[in-house]
Amino acid sequence: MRVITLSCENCGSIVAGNVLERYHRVSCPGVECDNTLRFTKLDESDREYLVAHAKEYRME
Amino acid sequence: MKGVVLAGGTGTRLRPFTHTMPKQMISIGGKPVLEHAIDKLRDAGITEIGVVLGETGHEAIQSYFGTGEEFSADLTYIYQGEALGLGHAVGCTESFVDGDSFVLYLGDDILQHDISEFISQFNPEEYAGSIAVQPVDDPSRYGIVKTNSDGHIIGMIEKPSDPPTNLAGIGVFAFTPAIFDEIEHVEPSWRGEVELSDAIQRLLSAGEIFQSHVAEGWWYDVGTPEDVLAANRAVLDGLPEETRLSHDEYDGVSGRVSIGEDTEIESGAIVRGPVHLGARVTVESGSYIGPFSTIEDDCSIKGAVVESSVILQDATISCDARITDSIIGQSARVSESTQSGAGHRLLIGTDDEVSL
Repeated sequence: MRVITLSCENCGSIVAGNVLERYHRVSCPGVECDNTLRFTKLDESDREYLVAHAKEYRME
Repeated sequence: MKGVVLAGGTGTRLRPFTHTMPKQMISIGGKPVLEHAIDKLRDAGITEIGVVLGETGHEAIQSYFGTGEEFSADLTYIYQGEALGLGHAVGCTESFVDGDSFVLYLGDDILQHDISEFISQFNPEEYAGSIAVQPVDDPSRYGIVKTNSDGHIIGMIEKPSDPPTNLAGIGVFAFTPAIFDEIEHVEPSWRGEVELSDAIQRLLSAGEIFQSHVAEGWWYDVGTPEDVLAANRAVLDGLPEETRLSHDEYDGVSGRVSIGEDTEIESGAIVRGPVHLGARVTVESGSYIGPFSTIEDDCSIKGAVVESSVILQDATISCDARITDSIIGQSARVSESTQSGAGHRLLIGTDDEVSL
């Protein structure tokens, strides 16, 4: 499985790309960071991959 | 070298407690399971630690540990989201690890001894990884490693019906970044998860070498209430002699007893160690706290006998009863019935368990 992530540019915390594909934006998990991480911040090729393989990243 | 601790998963076998808290925050001897893990990494010299969080309970973890400063660690939170397997969880740490070798510690495992030797024996120039193992009595219940005469791992089998060895993985690994390339090639298993063991097997099949490190001392995978109680017992059994205080101000206290700030033990109460009492605990006269009990912060024990049990934060036990081998959840209340006549008044929710 290709594991894609996005790091917060403010604090370095990390969110899985499949979470961003599902929810489009997520509060940064960094404790003292109020940044929002967005699906659109991923590279285009990563976004396309996550959308095309969305089912792989779901536990049914 | 960096550290990675996995703190996701749903903890289904620890319900009902895990309905409201992550399993890694269950108290063992007065500290969450996860704190034991972070302590082990820090004590071995690893202070840059990535904590992989799942969908549920991550706020409790972040609230407790913060940036890690209070624990002399520098924590980076990595949000995995849905539990897609250990392989996916580890894969999420690639940018945090950033080309370094790293120690992976499964956050619901608790070990007796430190991991300094495990780390010092791992040479990333020579090995693709190392797995801490221990002989077990019933290998068919565990992930088992197969080794050659040099102690190198040549295979891994989950819960084998015909175990080749009795060496079980105890949830501590060391990896080079090579593991990430293999994770990318692993397809989800029949249960929909990306199995870390499949990624390791790919490296082994490609001729890479993994060390096995036989660890001493006890270890527990704290996945069931029985495991919680057993691990709690083991941790309290290791309370240092310094906790055997003079207890001049506490008449009825004997043995090794760790006592938190502002805790009150009334005259007429008995505490027999090894016991951990958290902060702001009240033990009223007529109560007995017996060996291998952990009473967390802000609990009140009023007249009860508590032995070999874990009482989680802010619980109250106010009844003339003997509580043994039990786990009482956060803010739970066990009280004397006010009803006349025989019978027990019970309010029991989903996954709760009561023995009468």
